[in-house]
Amino acid sequence: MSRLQGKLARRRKRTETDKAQDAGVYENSHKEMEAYQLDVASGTPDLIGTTDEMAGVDPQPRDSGTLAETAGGSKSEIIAQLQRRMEKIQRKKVKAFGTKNRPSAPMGAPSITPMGTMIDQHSPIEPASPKSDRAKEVVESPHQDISTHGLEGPLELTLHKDALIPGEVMDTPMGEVWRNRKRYPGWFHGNGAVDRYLAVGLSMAAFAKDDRLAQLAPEGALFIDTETTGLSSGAGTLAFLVGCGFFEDGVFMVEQYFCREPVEEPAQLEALSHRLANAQYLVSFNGKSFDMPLINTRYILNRMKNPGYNLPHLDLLHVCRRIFKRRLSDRSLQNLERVILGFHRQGDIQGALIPEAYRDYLFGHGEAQIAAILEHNLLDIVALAALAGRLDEIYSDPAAVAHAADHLGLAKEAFLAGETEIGDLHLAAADDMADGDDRRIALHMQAREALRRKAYGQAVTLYHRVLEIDEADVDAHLQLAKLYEHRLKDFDLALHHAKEAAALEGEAAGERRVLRIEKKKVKKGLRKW
Amino acid sequence: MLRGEFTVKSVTAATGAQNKSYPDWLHRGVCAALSAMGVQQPYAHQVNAWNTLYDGENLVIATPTASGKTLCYNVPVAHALLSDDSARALYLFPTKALARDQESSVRKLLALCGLDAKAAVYDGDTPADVRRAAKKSANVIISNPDMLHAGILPHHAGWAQFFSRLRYVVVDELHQYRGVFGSHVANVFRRLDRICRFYGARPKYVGCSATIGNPGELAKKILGHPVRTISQSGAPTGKKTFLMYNPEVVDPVMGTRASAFRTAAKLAADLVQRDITTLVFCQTRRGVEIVLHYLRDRVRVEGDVQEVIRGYRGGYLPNLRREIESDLRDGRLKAVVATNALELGIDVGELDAVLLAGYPGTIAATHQRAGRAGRRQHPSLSVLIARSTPMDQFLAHHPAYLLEASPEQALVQPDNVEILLSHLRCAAFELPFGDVECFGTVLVTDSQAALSVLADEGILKKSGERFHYVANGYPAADVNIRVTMAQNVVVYNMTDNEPLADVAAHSARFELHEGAIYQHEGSTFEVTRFDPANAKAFVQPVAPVYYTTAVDQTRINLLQERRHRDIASSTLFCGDVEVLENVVGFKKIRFKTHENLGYGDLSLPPLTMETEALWLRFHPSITQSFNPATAALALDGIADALLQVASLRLMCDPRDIALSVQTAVPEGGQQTHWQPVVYIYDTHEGGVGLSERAFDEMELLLNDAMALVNGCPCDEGCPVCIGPPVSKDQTGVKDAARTILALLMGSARLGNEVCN
Repeated sequence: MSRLQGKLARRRKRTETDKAQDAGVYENSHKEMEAYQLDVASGTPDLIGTTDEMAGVDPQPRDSGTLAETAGGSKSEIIAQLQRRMEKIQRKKVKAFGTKNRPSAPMGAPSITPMGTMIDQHSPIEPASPKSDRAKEVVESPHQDISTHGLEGPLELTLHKDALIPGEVMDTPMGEVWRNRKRYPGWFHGNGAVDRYLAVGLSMAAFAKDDRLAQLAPEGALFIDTETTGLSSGAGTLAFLVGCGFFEDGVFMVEQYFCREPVEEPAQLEALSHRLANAQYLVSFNGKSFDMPLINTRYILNRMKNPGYNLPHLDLLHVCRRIFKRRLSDRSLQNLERVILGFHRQGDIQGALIPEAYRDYLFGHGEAQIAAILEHNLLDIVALAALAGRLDEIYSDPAAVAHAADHLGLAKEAFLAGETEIGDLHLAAADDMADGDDRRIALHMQAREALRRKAYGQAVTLYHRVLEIDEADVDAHLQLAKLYEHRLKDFDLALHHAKEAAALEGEAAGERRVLRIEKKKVKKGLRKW
Repeated sequence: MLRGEFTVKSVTAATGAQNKSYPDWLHRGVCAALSAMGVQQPYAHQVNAWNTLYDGENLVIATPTASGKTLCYNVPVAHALLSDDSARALYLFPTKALARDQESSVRKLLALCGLDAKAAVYDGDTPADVRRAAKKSANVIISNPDMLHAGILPHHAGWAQFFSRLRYVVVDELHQYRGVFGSHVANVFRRLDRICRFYGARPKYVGCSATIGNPGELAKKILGHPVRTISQSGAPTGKKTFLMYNPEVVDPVMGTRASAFRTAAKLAADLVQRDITTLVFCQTRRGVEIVLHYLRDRVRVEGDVQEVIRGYRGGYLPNLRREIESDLRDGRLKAVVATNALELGIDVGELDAVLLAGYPGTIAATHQRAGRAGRRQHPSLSVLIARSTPMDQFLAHHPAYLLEASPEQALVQPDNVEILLSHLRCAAFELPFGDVECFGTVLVTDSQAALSVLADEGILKKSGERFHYVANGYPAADVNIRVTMAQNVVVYNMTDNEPLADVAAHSARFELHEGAIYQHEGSTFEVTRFDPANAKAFVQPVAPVYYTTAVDQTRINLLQERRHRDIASSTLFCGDVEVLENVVGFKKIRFKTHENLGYGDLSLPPLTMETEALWLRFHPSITQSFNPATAALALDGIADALLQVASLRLMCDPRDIALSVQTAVPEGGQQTHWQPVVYIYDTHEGGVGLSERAFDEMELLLNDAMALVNGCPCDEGCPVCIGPPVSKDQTGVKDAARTILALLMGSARLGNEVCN
């Protein structure tokens, strides 16, 4: 045995000794342990690792039976160590929550409820294959499955490892990967039709600030979303699940590529390559700074070419941030889906729990959690497509917009893209609809647009309308002062507004303006004279 | 005025330059650039370095300060860029300041070569947009090991182009990477090597080191590749005078001498009055301000004293520092008082004299700082002013130690289990770990065993033939390569709530327990609260009549004996031990009289760690001629002295090693069977190789310890040598210590050393 191995062995033995001292406690808390495992399996949020635990130490209990089998029974030390760990965590939890406060399990069960239970009548489910039928069947009684799994750990080994996960094995030149396909003909996500996306116009190019998109057909879009082992962008974060949404023969369809083991990554990327190579552009939510760089890293690490490297990319996160800035403080996809599409998820797995759930699965339990993650990812992609369609709808048809604040956001998008007609339409609509502050802002935007077009008379009118709403609007006074001074050469009015602005602002710059206009006024008077 | 004594005077005659002509293979562009810089005839060691790299070997250069080390690596990089303008190089410096300083010198050479190549600093201070540009297009990235560890390697995919074209890795100030820090850095280089292999790059490594005893060994361990060592400098030197000054004793009982700060100020004032440009080095920022204050007070010169005598330390803004550097270079300043912020490679031009207010801790640093005086061929003076500390006093009495070729060994232990595991975690995050893949010099079976440990912990998962990182998080963020696993304890002064000092976690238990008297730069404080969980201690200034010593019950359990050998009739061992440190209380001891004024109980949780140790088991024949009480005290004293000299020889902080003495007489009390044991162990979990090296060097250490004891003017022991007497009427302990040491060293050495 080498010196290092000696040290490693002693390191293990140390923990072993600790364990021996605590052995009694383990026996006593065995029942508690089972209850805890149940909680973990059902994803009760407050029982799963805190951030410090995630940082270095494994916070998850391991099932001894599972390990004994996988390790071939030869690593009793390891099992002992893990049992000790498990028991230690258990003690910590008991201390933290007390037994009587334990939330009744399984609360917050993962959303393995199939789509059918939470959709409108006119959204039929159409199973892609008999295979997913089977998956559906298993999945529809989730609570029982979880309990069985949690209470009788060793039992799960008798089940097929992926019995609870919808989909099937896909063969690629790079090996096997798990694939799940689902079709969404005539699908409504809340009140948003997924197929609406097929009618999108130039808005996508405007939103993406990328003219290349104007040339591309809606059918060329690839909606993409990944589920990862962490949030860092480093080389060690795996995208264990990549979901792709696309239109095939006019029907929206999602394909998911899932790595049952990290070793399946090359096959997963190979499958993804096929999708990327057929896509004209990407649509994502935060994919520009997260998903696509991560996918690119995965390609590099596997020495594979990334066919999606330079594709045009519409990131709806940025678009929604801009459009709904004034109305929504929470602009996450889930909230947008609720507010904009009226879709309410039930029992969806929390994003923060996904990395741990996958790790659990890798170590031998938690297929139900994976099924929930697949479902979560499906919902995200469908929401993405429906949301993109809705954005186009409200952008190109002001009548479809229900909130003045949204008009302002959309108008801004339009002006930024140079589509002034659409911008004007939204502002006019906002002007009609809004009152108070939103209206004032709409008028300001219209006036700025008028200034840009050098329609000075119109700008003056608009600024006066601003002052009708709020006579203390410094910006309006300043703009009017400038317009009267430089454009309309009416120094009396210029002076009036400059003085108003200076009085409101109390700034030296304002006073300089007043002085300058007074001088000009005198000059003009002299000339006249 | 000066009542101390100059204990050393050493004069080194001027030496001429050894030059060579440009190698034939060197690109004309580089030759032209060198000529333009005034380097017509490069120094021999520079040409040797270029040739070594050209021959495809890795290299470490260990020549003195100001011998033109920078050109040793800048020239090959420029040459590589002239033949391939897409080539990349990575320069690593231990500090950000040094990186900035080097950026301009690289750029200058590249520009003179007519190259369009870019050199850019990439560190924590680099703004995001500059980072993006640097990552994409800079040919030379100048950074630090921390950034490589936490910022670059974990994101290597973003650096794919950089790594695939990487030709040179330059590691300057290699001697800084020792102990725990060095062991971490060595593992960072193992990770770098994996990433380079992944991208198909085989860069050449160039290390630069101050003059240490084992530059080749250190470079090989840190860089993980065989290296050729160049330590013969061809640069000319002026006549150098080195003096050591020992201030007068002011308190014979405590062995306290007059303040090194005041003495430095006095000497500096004398030099400045004689129009000699002087640089004073202090150990601490506060020291700088004290010396600056005294010096400005004493000096009468033309012009504004504030303007011509400046301080220079960390905490000054970068712009101010640049201004002082250029003023110093241009001869506008009379004196600068600085911390080691000025030590590392920063060019400040020619100085006539350097004063060191206290021993900088290593001989390498002493040479480096003294080397500041007399750049180029002018005569120069450097003076080391001793403080009252054991190390300083040892050196004051044993100048040979300083003047001989540096015997210091910089040690690293990259295979320390905890350090190795933390970097394997980072490595697996960067690239899945194959089952036949090696990690530096770690055996495949060992690395696989370590990876299995991580897999058992649920951090890695073996999938296919590789271990994949599957945990959440970003492992590099959890590994701070500058500190050990245990956090340093920060000492807060309660009067202003400002941090006063930080103390290694291990020592904190002994020095910062509640009620402890804590001494800091000549002021005394009492610890009012010690919070080990949050690594904080709070102190209040006091003027007590006593000091405190912690009473600990340290137990050592032997885990595995690795080697043993005889030292005279006794036996020396080394191996792995488990240390249980339990600080149970503390004693209050009156200054001067050493009366025990009281005892305080403490209830600190005991500390357990596994580490490496050496232990010396004394044969009964060695102690039998003394009464056991005297012998026990003498052994305590010998252990103290050994610890002091070991930290010198091993180039480590005295707190990196600790000792434990077992002098209990066995049941029955028969002294003829009494075999007391002295343990010396690494205080870092897992050990960093210090005690094992001490095992190898024990004869040398005994020799040094004897010299320390003999050289100390005290009668019955003092904190400088074997520790203060435990009672007022203690007699014979110092003599006993001397005799025991002599017995251990054997009679042949006895005659040699004891008489000196």
